[in-house]
Amino acid sequence: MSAQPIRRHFSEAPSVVYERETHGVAAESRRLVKRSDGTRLGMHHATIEAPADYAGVHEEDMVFYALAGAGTVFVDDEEHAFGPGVAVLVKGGSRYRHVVPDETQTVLLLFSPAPTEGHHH
Amino acid sequence: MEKVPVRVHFSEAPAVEYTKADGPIDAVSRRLIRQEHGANLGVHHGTVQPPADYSGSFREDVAMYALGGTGTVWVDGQEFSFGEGDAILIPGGSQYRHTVEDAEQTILIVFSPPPSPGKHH
Repeated sequence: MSAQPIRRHFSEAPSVVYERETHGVAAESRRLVKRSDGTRLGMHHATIEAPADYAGVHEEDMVFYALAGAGTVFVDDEEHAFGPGVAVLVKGGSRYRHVVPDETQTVLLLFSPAPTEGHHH
Repeated sequence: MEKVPVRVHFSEAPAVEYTKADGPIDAVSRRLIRQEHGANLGVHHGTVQPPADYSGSFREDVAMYALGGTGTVWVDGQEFSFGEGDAILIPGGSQYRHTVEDAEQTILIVFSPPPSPGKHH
């Protein structure tokens, strides 16, 4: 399938909701650009409620970009202050942890290749 | 080889300046994540001064995200308004045009694969 041009505003993008009880984090991730768009990259717009502390490993290369709010991103245990205008690269296979202490943080998550769709990013 | 930092604030990233003396726009593109990071994606932070009207074609798949300001983007002739919170997917090989009329527009540009270094993105 070849990709088509698309415009999506984050408020209109398909949304995946994460709940504290089930997923350990209260967040909403809006899929601005996704695998089914037929492209090599993925772009998610996420709001993460404080307090949050979650971790994982992605197969894909991923970049966190902070739009608003302050947090901390650890990449393979290396700590990085993460506030508006900061990008952090998490290569595929690296372990990341994202901590949001005080206020809702809004981030863009950029992936390549585009991740499979589901409840895991 | 010196390790390329995985965390960068856009104001500290290597910048490429574009001026109307030698091209169609006054703009600064800051290369947050570059080919030398060895990832599947590249991320640029761009500020484009009005009035601007430029166009081209990327081999890479590109997603643009508007951080601030308003503009218009055409992809293969299809017109999209482009304001804060909008993402636009520009599939590799398609023709794009971006215009900014009134106020500076700030954008994040994501590439997969990462583009070669140089004065062309």
